[in-house]
Amino acid sequence: MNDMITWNAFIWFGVSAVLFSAAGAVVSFFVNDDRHVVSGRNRIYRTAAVVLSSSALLVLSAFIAGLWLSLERPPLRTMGETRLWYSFFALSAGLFTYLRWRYRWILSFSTVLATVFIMINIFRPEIHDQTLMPALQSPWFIPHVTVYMFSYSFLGCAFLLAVAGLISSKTDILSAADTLVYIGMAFLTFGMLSGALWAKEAWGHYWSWDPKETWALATWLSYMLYIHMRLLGKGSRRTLCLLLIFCFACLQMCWWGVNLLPAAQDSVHVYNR
Amino acid sequence: MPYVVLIIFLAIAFALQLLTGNIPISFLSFPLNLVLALIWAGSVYILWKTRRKSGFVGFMLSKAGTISSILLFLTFSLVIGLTGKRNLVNTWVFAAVLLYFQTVLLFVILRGCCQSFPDGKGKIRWRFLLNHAGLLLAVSSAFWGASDSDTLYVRAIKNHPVKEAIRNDGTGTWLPYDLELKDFRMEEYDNGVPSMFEADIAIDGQSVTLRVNEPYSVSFGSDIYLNGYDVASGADSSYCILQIVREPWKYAAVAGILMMLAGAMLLFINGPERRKTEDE
Repeated sequence: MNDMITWNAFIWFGVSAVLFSAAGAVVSFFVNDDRHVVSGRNRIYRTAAVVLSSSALLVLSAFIAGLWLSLERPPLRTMGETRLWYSFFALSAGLFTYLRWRYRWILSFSTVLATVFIMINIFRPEIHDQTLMPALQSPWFIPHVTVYMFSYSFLGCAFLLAVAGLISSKTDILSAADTLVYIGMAFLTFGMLSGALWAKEAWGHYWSWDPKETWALATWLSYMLYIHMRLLGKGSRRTLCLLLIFCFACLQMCWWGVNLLPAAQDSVHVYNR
Repeated sequence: MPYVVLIIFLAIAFALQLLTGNIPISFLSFPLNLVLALIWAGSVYILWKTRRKSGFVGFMLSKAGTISSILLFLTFSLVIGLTGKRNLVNTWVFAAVLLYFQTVLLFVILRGCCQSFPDGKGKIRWRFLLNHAGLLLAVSSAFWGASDSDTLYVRAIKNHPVKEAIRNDGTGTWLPYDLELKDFRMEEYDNGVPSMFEADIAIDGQSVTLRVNEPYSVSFGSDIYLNGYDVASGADSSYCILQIVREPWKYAAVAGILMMLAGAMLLFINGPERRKTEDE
C-alpha cells in the first residue's frame, strides 16, 4: 500500500498548489485594470492566470481524491482534513470571484488564505486515523462539512475585504463584500439546516444548543444583521466593516474556538483535539 | 418611547425570572400552547389590519424594530455560547427575546405579503417570503411546541419485553407498547473503536432493525433511536439503550427548514439586491 497518497505526500502537493496559485496571482497583476482595454496581451495574461489557478485546484483535488482512497473514508473529520477542504474552497472562491468580477487582487488574497492553511497542515499535521464513528456514517456527513467549508472560504474573502475597507477608501468594497456575504450566507444556511436535519436523525432533536450549534447560530445571526443593515441603509462604512470582522470572529469561534472553551468538553461535535 | 416599551417588556421577563425561576414548561402543553400561539398570531394580524398607523406597529416595522430583534437574539446566543449554560433557553428572558423576534418577523411577513399582492398585481417576492416565513415556522414550532416534546430512555433487555421508560430528570413513565431486544451486533476497527452497531428490536412483537442515524417512526411525531449498549460487553451486550423522542411539532419545523433551504438557494442565485446599495 506504499504507493497510496497519504499525508506524508502532502508537502509535494501542498507546495506545488501554492506555487501554481501564486504564479496565477502574479500573472493576474499584468492584466490592465481598465476594463475597456481589450488587447490580445490582456487576454493571454488573463487566460494564463486562470489556467495557473485552476492547476493549483487540480493538484489539491488529486491529493483529496488520493487521500480519500487511502483512508477508505471521506477526509472530512479531523481539523487537518477540514483545513484541506478550506484551502481548496478558498482557491475556488478566489477563482470564481476573479472570473465573475475580474478583481485583480482577489487571486493574491485567496492564495494567501489557502497558503496559510496548507502551511499549517504541513507543519502541524494532526494525528490522522482511519476511524469513522457510527454517528458520522451518514449521507449528511459530506454535504454538511463541505458546504460549511465552502461558505467559510467566501466569508473569509469578505473578511479580508472588510479589513481592506478599514484601511483604504475604495467605495465599491462593501458592494463586493455583499456578493461574497450572500453566497457565504446561502451556504452557511445549507450547512446549519443540513446539520439540523442530520441531528434529528442521529440524536433525535433538530437543535440542542450544543456549543458548536450555538456558535453556528451566533455566526448566522451576525451575518443576518449585516445583510439587514445593508438592506436598510443603516450603519457607516466603518461600522459595517467592523461588523463583518466581528462576524468572522464568531465564525472562527464556531469552527475551532469552541474546542478551547471549557463549556464545550461534552459537545457532540468534538471529534478531535 | 418604543425603546422604553421594549425595555419594560424585557424587565418584566427579568422580574418573572427572579420571582418564579425558569418557565414551568409542562403547564403549557397541548392544547394550551396551540391556543396561545393562535391568540398571539391573531392579535398581530388584527393589529396589522386595524392599527397600521399606530406607533406600536410602526416600530415593529421600522429599521430599529428589525435590527433590535436580530441584535437581541444574537446577544442571547452569544451569552449561551460564552457561558456554555444551555439551560438559559428555559428562562423567561429568552422566551421574551424570542417572542419579540417572532412578532417583528410576523409583522414584516404581513407587510411583505401586502406588498406582494397590492390589488393582486404585485410580483410575489419568493425569496423574501421563503426566508422569512420559513424562519418563523422553524422558530415558532420549536418555541410553541417545546412543551409537547418529550425524550424517554428505555433499557431494552434481551428476550424480555419491557414497558418502563425514564426521562433525563429521573421521572418515569409507561409506554403504550412493549420493547424487547432480539439481537445485537457490532463491529470494531483494529484500534477498538466501534465502526458499526445495530439492534433487532421487537415492538409489540413486530421486528425492526435500529442503527445509529436510522431511527424508526413508531407513531405520529414519535421516533425510536438506538442510543447505546453495554460498553463493557461490546458485541455480547445483553441490553441496549433506546431513546424515544416525541416531537409532534416536528413536521412544521421540517416545512420551515425546507422553505429556508429554498430561500437560501435563491440567495445564492440572485445575490444582493441593488436597491439601497447604489447611494452609498
